[in-house]
Amino acid sequence: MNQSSRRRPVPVDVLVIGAGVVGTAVARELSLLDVSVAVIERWHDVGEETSKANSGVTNCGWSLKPGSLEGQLVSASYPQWPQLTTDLGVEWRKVGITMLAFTDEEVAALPAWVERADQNGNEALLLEGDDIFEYAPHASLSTKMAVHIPEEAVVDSVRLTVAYGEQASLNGVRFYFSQPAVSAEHVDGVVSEVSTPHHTFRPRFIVNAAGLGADDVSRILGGEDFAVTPRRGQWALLDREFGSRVPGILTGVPGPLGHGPMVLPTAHGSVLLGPTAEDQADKLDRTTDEANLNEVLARCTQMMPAIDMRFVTKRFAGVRANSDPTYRIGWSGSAGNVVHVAGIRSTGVSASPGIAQYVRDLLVEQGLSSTPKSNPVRVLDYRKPLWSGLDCAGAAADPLGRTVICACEKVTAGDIHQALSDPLPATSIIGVARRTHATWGRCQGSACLSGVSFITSMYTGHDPWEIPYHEPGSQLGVGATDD
Amino acid sequence: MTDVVVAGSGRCGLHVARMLADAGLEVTVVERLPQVGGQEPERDARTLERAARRAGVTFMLGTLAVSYDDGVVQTLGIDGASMLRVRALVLATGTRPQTRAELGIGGDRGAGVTPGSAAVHFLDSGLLLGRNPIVVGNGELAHHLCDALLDKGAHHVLSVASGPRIGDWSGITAIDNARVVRINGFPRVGSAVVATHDSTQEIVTDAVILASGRIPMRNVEGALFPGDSIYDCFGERDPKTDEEAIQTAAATARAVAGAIR
Repeated sequence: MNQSSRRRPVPVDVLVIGAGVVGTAVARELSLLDVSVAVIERWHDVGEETSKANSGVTNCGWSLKPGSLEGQLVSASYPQWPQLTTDLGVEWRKVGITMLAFTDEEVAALPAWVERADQNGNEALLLEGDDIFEYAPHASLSTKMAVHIPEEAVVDSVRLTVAYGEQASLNGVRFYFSQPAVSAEHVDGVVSEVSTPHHTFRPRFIVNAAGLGADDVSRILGGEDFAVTPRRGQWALLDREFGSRVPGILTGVPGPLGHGPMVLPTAHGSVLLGPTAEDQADKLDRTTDEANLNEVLARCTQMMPAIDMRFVTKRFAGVRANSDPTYRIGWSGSAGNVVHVAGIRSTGVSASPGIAQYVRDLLVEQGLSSTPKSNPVRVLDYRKPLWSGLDCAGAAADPLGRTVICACEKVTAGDIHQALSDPLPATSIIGVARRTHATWGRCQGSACLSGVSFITSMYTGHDPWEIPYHEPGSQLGVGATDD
Repeated sequence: MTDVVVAGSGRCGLHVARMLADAGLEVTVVERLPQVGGQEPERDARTLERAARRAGVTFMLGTLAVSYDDGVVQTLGIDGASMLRVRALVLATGTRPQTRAELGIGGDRGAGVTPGSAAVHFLDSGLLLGRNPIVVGNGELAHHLCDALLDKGAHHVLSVASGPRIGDWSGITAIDNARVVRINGFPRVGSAVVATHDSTQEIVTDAVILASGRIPMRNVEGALFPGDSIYDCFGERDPKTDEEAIQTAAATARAVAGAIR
């Protein structure tokens, strides 16, 4: 039986495929126009794939190839961060990055990076001797020479993806989760319909922002053949307490696989060490292994000998979407109404505002209405979480804000209530964690996982053993106890 | 006016609070949960609480000591937010099992890997975590969880311990001198790799419960570790017996009282 023939297709001006940081940024940008937009996502929440495990760096563009589309879009995005993150209620701060050279060969490579930063319009300081430690007091004493770029910044990229999605949702964009694109119909070389297991859409335009799945989606849409190759990056997360010793980003001199690992303060004060760069066949392999991660940790320790792994909170892995060429952004050659946004390997967060505007302009050139929406939501009414500011008096104004559920990250019942009743509500434990940080602190849910689960269970009307941890089929338990 | 805030009202916290009050100091116990006792059995906790109250200790229940900065403890709880200027802060916030990162367990991030402390609450609330679970750990918590799981519907429980077992584990299937090094399965755990010094085996399981070690809970921002006017009740090792607990509490109380006077 052909189910889709019995459905009434949903007409939309733009169908966005993929709700990672790029897909949600595009949806948000389009939500400011007087057009109808739907987003389909194969996983159960926004930011469930590459965007759940990225560095959070908002690159200022210093290291990118001048004239490249990547460099252009990252540079166009950078000046937008202060206003954008204020409007969306997302933590963002300048921390600076210092590239450390330990060998004569690496020292010889540094002037070229200063020149590159210069070409990109970024201030770069070539540092020797005591000057190195003025800008990077945590750097190894055996550093021979360094380049410091003061503008480099970090953002809470997990919250960013949620916030893009929330703003889009408030402005009328409809999100369909756990709905992968499975088939498409064509008329005269353009895609007329796209179906998921439960819905059919009749889009005027389609944006393929499917990340690791962008090549599969292109094939489903009748677009060109290209390959997205997965590159795994493993990370270790260290406690905020250690974070006070890490004022800025440390990185090595780039090799053939990119910049190599970093010692990286996060937007909210903890520290990331990583990533590894492991090319692999399986797009969904986000496993961690001690051996590879320890190799990266050794390189981080070379840059910062005072790294103390007793502060490790979590080890995790993400998979970035590599493609040759990277930054495949533009109209499909064979499916006339499809814009690909594929192969955004490592600067998806950094370029997300610029990519969204670039894609909007492509669509408007081809006839999408550029009429602004009247009175769109521009600023999210977002209460800063307690952990980010420790504003106890503010939290106590709400009776639910007086009960702290997660003591490590200071997440209140009010925060969890908000996560479960947001415009894009959490539907899983990870969904609550993504929106609040509950269970993500130094005890990793030892004290609060049960409480978070029970509150989620009350809100969603499910029994506790039915609450998914993340994807469907990921229940915390296997059923009720015998007694 | 408060001289000392004691964060946490388990066995050690209640002893320290009472001892400091007996020494003539104004003491406030700040307890995260709505009732005192932490992991202490309720009847024993009540006895200690009564003794502390008789000595003049004030209690703020359902209240978290959120942070400590320059002599001020910021609290948030059912009665709202408050700032307490103190001369000393005592950390008695209890312990937790080791996390997956601390145990160095690699592999997939599927559901079904649960901290032992949370597992106790889940089982008490009627949620069976697995029918063939693996319990990691050699102490009381791990032992209790093995028994509780078997009692509440698990078919088979496997205990994996890296150190010497405490107590009588007869009747429980156990692998000694072993650790879980990897967990496989997504969206839910399907197997775990267990390594001993000379062997590695993959074992089919539907839950892994992490119940090893007793790591201090550190959640007062700005006071994660002892320091200037910050004391803790954890000592060299977590006290096992009541007598050890009283000794640890007394040592902490002496240090606090000595510093304040």
